[in-house]
Amino acid sequence: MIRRPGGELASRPLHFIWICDCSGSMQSDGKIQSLNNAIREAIPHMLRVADENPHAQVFVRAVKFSDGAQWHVAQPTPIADFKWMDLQAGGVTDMGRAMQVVAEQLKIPPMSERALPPVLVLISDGQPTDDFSGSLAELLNIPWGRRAVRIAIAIGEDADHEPLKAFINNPEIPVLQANNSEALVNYIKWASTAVLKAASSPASQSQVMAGGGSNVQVPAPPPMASAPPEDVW
Amino acid sequence: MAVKVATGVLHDFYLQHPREEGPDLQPLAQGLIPRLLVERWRGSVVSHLHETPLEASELQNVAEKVGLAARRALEADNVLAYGSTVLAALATPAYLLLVQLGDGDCLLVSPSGKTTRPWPRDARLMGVETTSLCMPEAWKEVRLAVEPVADGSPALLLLCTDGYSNSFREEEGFMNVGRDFLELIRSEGIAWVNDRLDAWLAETTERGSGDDVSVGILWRQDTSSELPVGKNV
Repeated sequence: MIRRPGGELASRPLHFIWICDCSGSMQSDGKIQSLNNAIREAIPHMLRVADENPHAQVFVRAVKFSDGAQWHVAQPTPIADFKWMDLQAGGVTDMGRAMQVVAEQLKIPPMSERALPPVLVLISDGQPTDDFSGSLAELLNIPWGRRAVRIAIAIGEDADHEPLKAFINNPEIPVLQANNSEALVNYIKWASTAVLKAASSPASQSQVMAGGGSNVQVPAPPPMASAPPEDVW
Repeated sequence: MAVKVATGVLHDFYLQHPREEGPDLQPLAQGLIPRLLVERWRGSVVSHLHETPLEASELQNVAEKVGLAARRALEADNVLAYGSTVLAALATPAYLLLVQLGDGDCLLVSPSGKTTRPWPRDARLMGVETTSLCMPEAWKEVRLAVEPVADGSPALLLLCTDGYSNSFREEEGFMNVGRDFLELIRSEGIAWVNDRLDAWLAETTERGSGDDVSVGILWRQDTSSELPVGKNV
């Protein structure tokens, strides 16, 4: 039998990275556990979205930052095999170091040129304690860092929105303010499903190179739900 | 519109330079074709816009599908609505003239099956981003090559949209299509390949990028067969 021209075929890889604040303040009011629960709950929904689009192969990873930053899940893991291990809170908020850790993995290689734009979701309840601006610039100077879909979730009223806005670097995408565990679950689910779906859709129309940010149209986030005063972080 | 303009520009160039070849033609074509291509295309677009201006519903559609920033940009410059890439070839008995603006691929295959690109891939074109005829100073983004054909090479030219190359796991797997097509055309005939092309492309995108795929192949019937028989590639 004469075979089809060319070598091995493959769907395009899509890298989804959680970037999680594990500073000491995340311990208060059960925030870190709410985050663990929210991400764990989101996994089946991510799997469903990934299954709906066989042309994107979704790989998930996670970075944690407090005193420094490390990969919590270092290997790009197919969503079907992804298991969430609980994060523990303690230490300062080295958000800048987390940017460096992510930037290192968004270089080509190990990233491929044919990948779909990666999705980066930054979740924090505080403000950076290290050089965030310089490290963010490093990330945004990398082609895949600049083209990534960048989402930020602020946990609690003390979260500093400015670094999160700088991370998003797109005035059309708001910082998502989660003031209770229910809102956090909703936003995590939205990032894991609606944003993932948008990023994984095959290009039906190319976007003209603008030299700016993401080339994926991020859907509108869910409306902020009001919560009883006793539930507010 | 871009196809009509590009073929017109290349045809006019051929009428002025039907027999020349070699290094002298490259700077001549480079100095003439990119500007002419962009100017004629822009002129055609402006004429069409004059006859059929953009409607409010079309602008609203852009806002909903691509975002408010895209709508604002379109309102400021209606020409963006016509943005297009170009991949074109002029084949004459003396030379092959290749033109590209934006994404897509161009492969040259020698009589022995060696497959090369006339220019390196543009590393800026990632995700769904591309350069386009509608960009400011788009002529600077045009890539152009003049290849002599007197020695029987290339034996085959392949032009395709990026949905084709994005369907292969590795660059090498995509580059193999050049040699494979040449081998199949020589062994089975061009009609036989043409009959199967639709099915091959459908399979390729189905198991690959999921994107639209268009392929154009030009084969020189007078090249000798020098491929090793039965060798897997």
